[in-house]
Amino acid sequence: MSLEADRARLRDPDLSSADLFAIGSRHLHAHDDATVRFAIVGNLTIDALARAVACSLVRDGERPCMYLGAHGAYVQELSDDASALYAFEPDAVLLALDWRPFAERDDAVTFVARLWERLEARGIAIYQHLPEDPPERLRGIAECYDAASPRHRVATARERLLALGAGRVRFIDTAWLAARIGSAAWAPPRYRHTAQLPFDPKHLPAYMRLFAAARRDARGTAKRVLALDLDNTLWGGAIGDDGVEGIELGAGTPRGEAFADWQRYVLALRARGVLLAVCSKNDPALAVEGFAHRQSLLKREDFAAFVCTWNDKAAALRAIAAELGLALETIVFADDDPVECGLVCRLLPEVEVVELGRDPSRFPERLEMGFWFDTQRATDADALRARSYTARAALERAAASGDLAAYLAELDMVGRVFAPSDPDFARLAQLESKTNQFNLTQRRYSERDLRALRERAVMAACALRDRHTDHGVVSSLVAFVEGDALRIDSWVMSCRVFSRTLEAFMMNAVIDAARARGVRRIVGEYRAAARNGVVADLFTRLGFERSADDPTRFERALDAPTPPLPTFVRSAP
Amino acid sequence: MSERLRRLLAALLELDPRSISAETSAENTPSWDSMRELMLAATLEGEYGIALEIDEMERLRSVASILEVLRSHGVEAP
Repeated sequence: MSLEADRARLRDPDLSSADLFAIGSRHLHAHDDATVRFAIVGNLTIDALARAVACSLVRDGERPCMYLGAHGAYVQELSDDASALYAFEPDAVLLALDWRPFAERDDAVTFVARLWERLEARGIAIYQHLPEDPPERLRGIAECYDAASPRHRVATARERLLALGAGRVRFIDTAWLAARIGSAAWAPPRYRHTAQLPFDPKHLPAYMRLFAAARRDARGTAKRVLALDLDNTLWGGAIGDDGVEGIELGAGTPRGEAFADWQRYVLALRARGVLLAVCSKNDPALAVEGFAHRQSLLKREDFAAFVCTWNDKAAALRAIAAELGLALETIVFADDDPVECGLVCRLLPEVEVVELGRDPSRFPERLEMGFWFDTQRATDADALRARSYTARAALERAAASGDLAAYLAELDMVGRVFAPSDPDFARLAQLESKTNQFNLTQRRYSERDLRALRERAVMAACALRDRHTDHGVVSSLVAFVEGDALRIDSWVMSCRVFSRTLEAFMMNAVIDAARARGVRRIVGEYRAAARNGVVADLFTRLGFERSADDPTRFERALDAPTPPLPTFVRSAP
Repeated sequence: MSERLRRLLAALLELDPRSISAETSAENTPSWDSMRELMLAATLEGEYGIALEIDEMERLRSVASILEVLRSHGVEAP
């Protein structure tokens, strides 16, 4: 079978481990005209993973000649100048060590670093697995405190390897992959007992992709551009048909939340230096409107290239490459539509394609499992792009240092309290039904109830955004005017926005509304339930007095003018 | 033997699917070595959603024993 055919099969996202093994077997020693001589040594059997490494090299256009070290003999092979490994004259060596050598002794990292020096002296590039956590729990948390425990030793070893190896060694992030898959599924003991395999061969395709990322970093062929479709990729629905108000994005529905979270992920990549591009079949003027959606985290100016045409996407991607002055090989194209993905795959084999599928909650995972934007060290250029990230990190430090007031001030929160109308009731009913913690009376109004009550009740909804995100509608309050009092019958708030002084902001608005209606006091109720202890003292914190004869009742007189409750949330202009 | 199992074995052992029969085994198939036996274990586990027991890992030496192991995991029509 030809090299090109193998490359195509290795690019298939559904590549099976059986196919990988068969293809890898053909390329272990196949190439006389090798472009790279790659040696692999390890503490366990490397036969299976060596095939994945060979496949990874073939996939990305290299012609490898592989050397597989003798089982478990990595120390001898690397220490002995006369070893078969050095006779092979490798360009690069992979040290495929799992967690075990690092759990056995304290000085394992020092020992490994000496092996690195031997390779460096010969000008051989070094790749090494980052050791995964030991799967055995033994006595649990106590192991974390015991400096000689496997768990403690391996965690320490990872840090030391990264520190000592920075700029010298390219690490294969097996620690992450094993954790992502789960240590029990990553390395079931039966594969080690049967053939000393370091992990279940099912995971060879994922391992191949992970290895490829480190290799791209070494060759300077890392991906730089994420080209994204729009409809059903960055929001739910079609902007052209549904309009900016009709697309699904942000708080309110699970899908909308998932799209917003995916946008957050994409922005995080941008902050790390990944260029974003739009590649969409749309009217450009309409497409831009999507980014004006009030819950769109992505804005038009976040995109370095913006190509909306009715031409095929292969042509659009060529236009993006030209606009950015970059090769097609630097682009990763992500789209929900399998037809578009298939077309780009066929017409532009230079471009990597990620078919996102239909479930936006899986988009980040779909993209991440390709490891496209992996890099071993962030560059200066990345740091320049990362300004927003740096600012956010400073904020998190403030929060961690205990200065909550400074933290809240820097969140730059903008709130809006408003009387709900028809389109809001579904979201408010959802809050009423789902909220268990900030829920004062456990009276849960349905959408129908809310609609029916709209004439009789005083209702308030509250939306919040901050410098990081738009939270959408996060609180619902239903009250009734009874005599000279406004009685709060139900008040719920999403747990995501607890402890931010939003409750004070909202109460200020309720007090204003009550005054406008001419009532003289506000009455609140707190009925204890299984999970609402967090608001047991809410009304006293908001300046209410507990009633002497009914401990569930709280009252705040409006006779005298009072200063507004202090809050870090300011009103939307 | 089902088409599914036949295709799976053909891909793994790099054989023409038509050459695989109920009599195919490691004895009469040079590519059926110990490494491929393990790949077979992993592939069967993934394909049929089962987890093999440790003594079954070394019994995957013929089509007949594969069918037997699968049956013991409740896979009646592999």
